[in-house]
Amino acid sequence: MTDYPKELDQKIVLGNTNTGRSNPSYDPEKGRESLAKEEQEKFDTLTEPVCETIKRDLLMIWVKLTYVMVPRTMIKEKAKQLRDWDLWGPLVLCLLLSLCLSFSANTDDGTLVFQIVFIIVWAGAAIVAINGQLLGGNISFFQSVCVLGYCLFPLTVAAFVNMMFLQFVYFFIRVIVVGVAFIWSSYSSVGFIAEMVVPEKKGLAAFPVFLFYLFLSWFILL
Amino acid sequence: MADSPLGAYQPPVVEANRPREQVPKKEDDEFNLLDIDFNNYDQSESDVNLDSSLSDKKQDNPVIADEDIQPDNGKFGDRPHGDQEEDINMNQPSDSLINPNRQNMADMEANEPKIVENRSLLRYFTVEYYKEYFDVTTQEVVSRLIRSCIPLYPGSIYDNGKVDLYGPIWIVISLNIAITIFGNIARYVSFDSKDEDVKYTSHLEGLVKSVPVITLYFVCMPAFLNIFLNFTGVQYVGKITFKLVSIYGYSFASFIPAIFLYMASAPVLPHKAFNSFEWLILFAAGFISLFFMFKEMVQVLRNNIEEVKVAAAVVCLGHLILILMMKWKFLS
Repeated sequence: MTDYPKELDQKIVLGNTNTGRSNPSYDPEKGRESLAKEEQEKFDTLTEPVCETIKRDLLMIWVKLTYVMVPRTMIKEKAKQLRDWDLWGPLVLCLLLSLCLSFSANTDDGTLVFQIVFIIVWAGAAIVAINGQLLGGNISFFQSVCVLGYCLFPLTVAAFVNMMFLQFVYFFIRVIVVGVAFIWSSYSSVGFIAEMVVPEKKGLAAFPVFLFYLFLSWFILL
Repeated sequence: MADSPLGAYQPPVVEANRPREQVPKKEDDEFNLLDIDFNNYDQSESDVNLDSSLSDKKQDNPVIADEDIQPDNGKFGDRPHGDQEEDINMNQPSDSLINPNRQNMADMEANEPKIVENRSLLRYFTVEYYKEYFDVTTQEVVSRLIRSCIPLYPGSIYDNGKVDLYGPIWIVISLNIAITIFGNIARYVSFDSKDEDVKYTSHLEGLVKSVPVITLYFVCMPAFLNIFLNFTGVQYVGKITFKLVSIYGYSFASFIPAIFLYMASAPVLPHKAFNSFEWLILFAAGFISLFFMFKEMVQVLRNNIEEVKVAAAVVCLGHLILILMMKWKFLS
């Protein structure tokens, strides 16, 4: 048990990535495709500490969020970034949204609200993605779901603000806050969805997105 | 592929050959409707029409539109042949082949969905099978929506393109959402808030009840009509027709403005007037939607067969039940 060679010790302690070569660090800006093939194979998440993995995933989510939220002029960057889809971000946002809404909803049945919001988010994202494909779009199913999930971020923020601070304020102010969040969400996701179909069908592809966020905004105001 | 249509080649007259070659053809003529159409279609085609646009027509196409040979066609004027899926055979298969309006064939061929050779059942579950029903532009869908809410147009709403399923599906989903949102807003506005103990609570049961009912209507009623009309009287030539689904979906379009009006009139009208106004607009919307459906299905209704009347009665009853449920369950 003490005969382990020194290199193996180093590997176990420092993780597989630090074996004397240049550090093939995962650059979330570029995605996984930037790693060379043997670096990808050595990119072994089993031997690295857990907080490294979690930090890297959180960074990935954060980068995607900034890409989707801040309107950028270079659509190609967006497309390249979002091709590396993941569903962690949408899941986290969906859970946050559902929890906020079920706590603050003005009905007698909070769990029903949670169920409805959760199902509507995932089923709605799936339906909008299939709709995009049926209209002849050239984007994969999971990429659409990923984009729609990330664009829930403004609505989640609005729901949180609503729950914390705005419970006893005039209804009109809540309408304004939720309205701003709705417009922000729709704008950032429509820009992405509409570029994947031909221009004559842009309205057809964008309308379901609009409907999806409208329904969720109404839930926040419920 | 073949050098000549069937029957052009005359075998040499030999005792053994002569009687047998005629008999199988006749038997086919009697029992196989599809073969009748195909064979004679080719023969009479080559005589009359030299239009080159028909040269690449598909050989396995069993679809013949014979709407023009009906005697009372004059009063409907020029009906453009926009759709392929309703081929109502008027029990005269041989007469239907001598089709006087041959120049419309090219248009019909162009508009027809492609027939896939592979006929497994799994193809109904792929995205590609349904892509041809989503081949519309925004402009076409908007014009179809407007015309289905105000059914005072000539011809059919499908004149400007192919039969689409985008409109119906999103109309049904929007109807569900409209019932939920507008119903709740109307409830909020007309809430009697003088009583301090009773606080306003939102009503999600409208959503939970309306979604299954409307979706069931949208799925089952056209399926029922398809099967019913296929097996009795009116004959479709062997394909699943989504045109009925499309028509039924577009007929729901008139309910959405009705529900919007319902919400918009809630703060304005006093309570009793509001109640009767609600009945009024729901019945008006139901009437418009039935009128639209009958206008589109004029072809089928010209058959005054008993089964068509039964189908029409079932559709009317379905709409009536839908209106009653809307008033009492979804929007209360």
